[in-house]
Amino acid sequence: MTNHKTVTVLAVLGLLFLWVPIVAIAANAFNGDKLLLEWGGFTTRWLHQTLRDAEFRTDLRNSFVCAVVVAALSVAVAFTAAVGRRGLRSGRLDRADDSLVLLRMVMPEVVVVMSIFLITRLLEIELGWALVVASQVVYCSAYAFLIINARMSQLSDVYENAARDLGARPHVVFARVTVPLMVPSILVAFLMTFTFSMDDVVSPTFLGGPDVTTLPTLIMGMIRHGVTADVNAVALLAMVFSLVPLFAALTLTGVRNLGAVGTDKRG
Amino acid sequence: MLVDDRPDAGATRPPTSQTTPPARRSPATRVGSALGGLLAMVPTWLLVVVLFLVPIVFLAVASLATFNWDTGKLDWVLTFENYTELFRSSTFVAFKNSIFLSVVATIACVLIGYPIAYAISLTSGRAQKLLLLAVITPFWTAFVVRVYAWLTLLGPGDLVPWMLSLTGLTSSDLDLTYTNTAVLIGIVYCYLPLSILPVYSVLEQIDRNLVLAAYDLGYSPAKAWFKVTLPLSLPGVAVSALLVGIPCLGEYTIPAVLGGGKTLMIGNLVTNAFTGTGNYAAGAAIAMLLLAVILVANWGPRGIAALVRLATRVLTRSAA
Repeated sequence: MTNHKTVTVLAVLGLLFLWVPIVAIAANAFNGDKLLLEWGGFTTRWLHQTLRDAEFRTDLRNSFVCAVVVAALSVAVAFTAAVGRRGLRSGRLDRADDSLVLLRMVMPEVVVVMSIFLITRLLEIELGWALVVASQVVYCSAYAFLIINARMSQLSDVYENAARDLGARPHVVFARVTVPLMVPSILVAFLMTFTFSMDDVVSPTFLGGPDVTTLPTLIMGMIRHGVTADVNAVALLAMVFSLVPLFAALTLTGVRNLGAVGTDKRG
Repeated sequence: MLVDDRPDAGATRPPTSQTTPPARRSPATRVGSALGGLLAMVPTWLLVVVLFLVPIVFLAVASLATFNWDTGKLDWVLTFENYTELFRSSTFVAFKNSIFLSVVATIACVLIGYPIAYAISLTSGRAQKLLLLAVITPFWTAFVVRVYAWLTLLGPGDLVPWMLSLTGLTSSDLDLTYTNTAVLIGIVYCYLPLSILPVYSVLEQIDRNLVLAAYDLGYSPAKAWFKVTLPLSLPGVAVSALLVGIPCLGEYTIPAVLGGGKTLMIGNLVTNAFTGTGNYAAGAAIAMLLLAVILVANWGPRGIAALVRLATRVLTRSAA
């Protein structure tokens, strides 16, 4: 390990690239100069203003509720599918199912969202929250399935067989043995799909109609009016809220596993 | 491992060859669990068919229909006009731009991400966990915020133009916001963690003894890296290139924020066609082309690899 100086320098520069924008957002949320032209002194005015702002509160609540519903539905669909696959044990069906999972993951979100939008126009369905949730579940459930099925396929039969030998009925085996063994992966899948939904711009913008507002659509709207300190305050708070599921996931599974889980996210 | 816990064990082979004692499941419970299994698949299949496959079939059909400007509806007359229209200037420019941006962003992500992944793989214990956390945290941080951050760094007098002006080639008043460069920086920034993690996990699995053997044979660290580590880490690089290159082809948010409506990618053209002019047929055709590009980018390399394998097998067999 003699000549790793170049690597270290390049890695430090790369990590700076990753972190400078985040630090800049946080710093400018406290900038006294509203237009961010220079450092106008430290102030918590923008944060206070944002936290009291009714629109911000509504949008934050909307995003949160929507993300909880999407994550719950995605995990439910993914978990039942993983259970089904374990029960079926059919290689051919698995392969067909795998390619549908992969297809949902590589499909650009705009295509999924606009194809649903097209149907709403043709069949004259009204836009709204239900469609936002539905389109997010389409791809979130694919990611949830990947996480949950990875654990499910590693699950050995021994515990279930032991429970059965001890006289437990099938539904008891399922509820008392299979589900508890699956809980960590279910929670990680929940947290990951929760963040996907919290971050999503495309679905609420195009399938929500005029009444649907979320934190990302609020930020998108504010950006259009220009870059000011109060946008940074909203942005900082959005970042802080997005760290909660991350740390929850980190305590559930180590940072190494989380890195492996998180390798397929779409923008 | 004593227990065969592969998901498809059992169904594909006769029960007698199972490593798990097979007597535990009577034929009745087997049929029962298969039925239960089918039932459990219903929600996911329903979801995929109703919300994914059917809409895409509609998209494909609409892309062959004609948009009637008077009624604002689609006339179901078969036409390929929407596709020939794609090769008209503005759409085609955005297509080329998307592919260009995604290729450059992929290369940049690999070049910036590889040293970080390598540095992480050289550390261990607490330091390694901390570095991984430094890569994963931005990735979980609110996406729109991370894109927006660059608007505050690329304007005249901001950090990036100021740093570029240090080279003496540009002025610090350079305004990079709402340009192709801004979109490119945003894409590289958002996808960088995705390119680091697969390379790291492959580097982590490389046997250190191979590198040490190279040192013993008189290789310098740089040469050992080039001759041993790099070739072994290429599968990870390939995965990271796919993870970056394919999703960013269909990117909507980053060009919407940093391109400011001036720099468009295919994703923005699709939404513009649907919500701007309301010409669903044109929008559907653009979406179908995007879909085709994604499928080719995803399965093309694998298809070519399979063809090459098949060809070599046929050739070696005929030679033998």
